[in-house]
Amino acid sequence: MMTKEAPTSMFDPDAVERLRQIAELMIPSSAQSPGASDPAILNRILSHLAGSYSLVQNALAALEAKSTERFGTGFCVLSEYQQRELCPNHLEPQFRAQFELFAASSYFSDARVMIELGMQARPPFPLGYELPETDWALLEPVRQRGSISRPVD
Amino acid sequence: MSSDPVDVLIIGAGASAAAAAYSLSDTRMHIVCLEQGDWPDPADYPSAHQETELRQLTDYHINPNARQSNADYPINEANSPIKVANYNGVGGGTVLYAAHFPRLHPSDFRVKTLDGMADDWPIGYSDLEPYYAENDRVIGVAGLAGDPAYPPKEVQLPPVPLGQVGEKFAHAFNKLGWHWWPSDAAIATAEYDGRAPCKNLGPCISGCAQGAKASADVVYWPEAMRRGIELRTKCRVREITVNDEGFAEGVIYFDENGDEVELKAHVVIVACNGVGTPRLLLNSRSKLFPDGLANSSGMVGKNLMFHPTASVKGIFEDRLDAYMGPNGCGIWSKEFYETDASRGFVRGYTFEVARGAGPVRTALEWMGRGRIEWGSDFRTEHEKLFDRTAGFITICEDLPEEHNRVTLDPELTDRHGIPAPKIDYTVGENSTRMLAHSVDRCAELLEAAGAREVIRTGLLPHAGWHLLGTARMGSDPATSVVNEWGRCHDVRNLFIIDGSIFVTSGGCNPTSTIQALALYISDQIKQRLANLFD
Repeated sequence: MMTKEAPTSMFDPDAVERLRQIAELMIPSSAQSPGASDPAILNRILSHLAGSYSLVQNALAALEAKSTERFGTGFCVLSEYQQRELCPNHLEPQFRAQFELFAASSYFSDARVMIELGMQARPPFPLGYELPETDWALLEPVRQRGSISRPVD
Repeated sequence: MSSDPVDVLIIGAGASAAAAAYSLSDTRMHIVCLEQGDWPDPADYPSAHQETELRQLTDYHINPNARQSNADYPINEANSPIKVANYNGVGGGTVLYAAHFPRLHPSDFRVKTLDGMADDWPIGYSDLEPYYAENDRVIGVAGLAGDPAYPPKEVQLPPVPLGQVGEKFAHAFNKLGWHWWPSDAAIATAEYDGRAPCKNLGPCISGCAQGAKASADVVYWPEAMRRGIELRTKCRVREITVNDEGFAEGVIYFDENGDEVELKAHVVIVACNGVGTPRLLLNSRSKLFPDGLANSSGMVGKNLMFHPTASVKGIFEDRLDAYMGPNGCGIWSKEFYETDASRGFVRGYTFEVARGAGPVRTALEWMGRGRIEWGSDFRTEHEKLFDRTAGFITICEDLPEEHNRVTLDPELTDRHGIPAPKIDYTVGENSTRMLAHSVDRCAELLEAAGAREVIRTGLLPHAGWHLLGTARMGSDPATSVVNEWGRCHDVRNLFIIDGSIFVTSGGCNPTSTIQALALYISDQIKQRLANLFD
């Protein structure tokens, strides 16, 4: 299940494609659910990553170099099996942490995903949530036991 | 630039400053407060945004070194397993606190007498009781009267609902025969004094968009300002100056534009928390006070107490609605609060129910533990954990130890060039035993509650919420910084009212006591106005 929204970002198309494929490796799409590479979700990831532009570019360059060193070709043309040999364990640690944070946030704040999780597709405020009234008769054993306050005088 | 002296200058605008400003406002003195941060904007709080959890982990991160806002100052905490959690702005730490609102227990003021450790406070529970009560009335405390762990006290509002998580744990406590009680919470569970009621948004610890949480920007400051207190934001104090007679003369601060301003005052009140206060005093060196202001005892910055906090979580089969409701408030237990020598440690701790995380934090936490991996099982594994995880944190009493301290970093500075604080801290042996005991008891509780798996995290690193003890109160000027009514032994027009004056930490959240102390000290100032400097 995917939206048709096209990714737009400050990253060049090659970088976007690498990031899209990394996102798909992290949370793959399925027939029922979007993955993290879904265009709407990817757009949010790219938007967040734009704040760490140099970090991202350097990490992608390092990934590309690793791919060439190991498989003799660029990351995007590797098989999924080969890509998983590199991702996530050979990603630059700081980039990996940022990517996981932004991907998880972008993914789990997507309305479709929230609904699948049984949540309401909205932020907590302003509607909030209803919780059932508590039956304070639950406290009866505690009351029966009496004071546990330590005397000081 | 200088100006005519004000009557009272308060430095900081957090929990204690707000209470003091409110209390002192009825004197009609000219009172100015300087705050390095700005007013928080509730519309900006994470819970008002779709990516709630991302904002909690970035702009509203509890650690200033991670948050790095303009209002923050860096802290060298490399030599501490516990990292500082604070908020620099109007309301201070209460903007990001869980609103858990326990009082200290009477025994907490008599640790030396009762347990032969640390020191007694020079005041007792009965001295503070009227101020606890006054603070509770202003705050509007939600809870249930009759907690057998405390002397009688009133509450203003119905307790926070327990939800499925709380009820599950309440049954577990009953099964084990252990004490539990609905937490006192600084949360308006019904409309209170113009504040709208709580809607169970969840992330109280990153600001309450609803305004139901009694953070000091919402509760005390509006009334204090209506009564004429002047609050200047984005003003960072560099140092407190002194005159030749050894009195505090005023301060030098950087205003919003980065310009240095001198402000003179007849009385100076420091309310910058257990890290910011010693930092300011140590930065206020002079010919008369070469080791830092009010530091003839050498105690400024020493005896830092954090409350080592452990976390234990259970994974349950069923969904828990665990991300709904005040995430830090629900149930507390004082079963192991008071000393029992057979446990291998003195003093004790509070259990607090921690409701569960949202989907993002669930993913990040369990990826970090290797339980959720990239790939086709990501969603399946996430669904086994999301909204099925809840547990406890334990707030352990931290005994004062001089080697746990705040000093000035020789190199690190804030954006104004003011030396930053450096923290050296180790978890003491007594606390280590207490933590281990608390983790085992939590595991018992979670098993009794039906958890299919128990995860013991142990000491939480990012749990330095409570910053205490670094300018301790006492009767003896050789071993303490302020006297029994908050005045510095060394400087007779300088008062300290924040958590740094705690003598011992107790084993529970300190904000209620911090504000009660601020009201108490303010009352002492008002009662002694005629001979305040004698």
